[in-house]
Amino acid sequence: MLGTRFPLAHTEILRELSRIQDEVNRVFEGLAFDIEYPPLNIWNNAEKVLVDVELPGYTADQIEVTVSGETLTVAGERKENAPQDAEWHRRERFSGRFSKTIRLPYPVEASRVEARLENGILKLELPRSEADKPRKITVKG
Amino acid sequence: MLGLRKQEKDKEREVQVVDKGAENTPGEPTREEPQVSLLPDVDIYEKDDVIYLLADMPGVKKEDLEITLEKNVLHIEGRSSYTRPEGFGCAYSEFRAGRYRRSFALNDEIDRDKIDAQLKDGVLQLTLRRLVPSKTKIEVR
Repeated sequence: MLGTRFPLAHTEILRELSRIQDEVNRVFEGLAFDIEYPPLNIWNNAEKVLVDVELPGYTADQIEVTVSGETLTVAGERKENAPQDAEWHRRERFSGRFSKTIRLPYPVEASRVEARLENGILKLELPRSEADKPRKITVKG
Repeated sequence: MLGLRKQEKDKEREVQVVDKGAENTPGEPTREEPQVSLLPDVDIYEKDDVIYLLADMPGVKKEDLEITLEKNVLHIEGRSSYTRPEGFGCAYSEFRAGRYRRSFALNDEIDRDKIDAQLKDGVLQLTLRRLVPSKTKIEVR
């Protein structure tokens, strides 16, 4: 009969689907190997650009941010905490030096860039350069 | 399934903390909202019968982290509080907010009562101790 329900079986199917979804997500995550370390997001509006960079375990003094016009470079180094003679079971986390350069949507005011670290995410606020801001032209009657 | 395969692979290498991938915690497949499942990068090393497990979980706050020990399986789960900034459009994206999940099977040599967890700058550090020292010195008479 069509109306018959099997509550237990239904839950099992949902659980299985959820598991499959997780596995598919993981596969796609694994395919994203072409992303240069560290992963970042760029947001913008007419006034400023926000750049968020995933930098877990880094302290402020291990990160270097350079801005020039519409070019942003984030560089840094994360050192291994493990003692030299430690026995390794698994090693997936990034270690060593990195430098990543990106082109911003428009030139920014390098002297007014703000940077802060929040739970392992570097948050940059880059105001648009005054010269680049769109101007409204008044049409004279 | 992926977790099981990994587990088997690790057994060959005699690893004390066996990675089980982002295994589902039993009885929790009900989700209010669809969330991306993220697999955190993990380092595991050992020194003087202390095992250190480090997991990169950028964007996760202490209150959004849950570590559970269920029989011999240690689950770590952290919800990233990273959100889209209001009033901004996305220009480019390499990472997303979501739920970091990973499970590890512990063998009987790990002291269940002496597991320490610390979250700092988006990195979870777990410290696990062995019940019995792995190496015993044999006196030569």
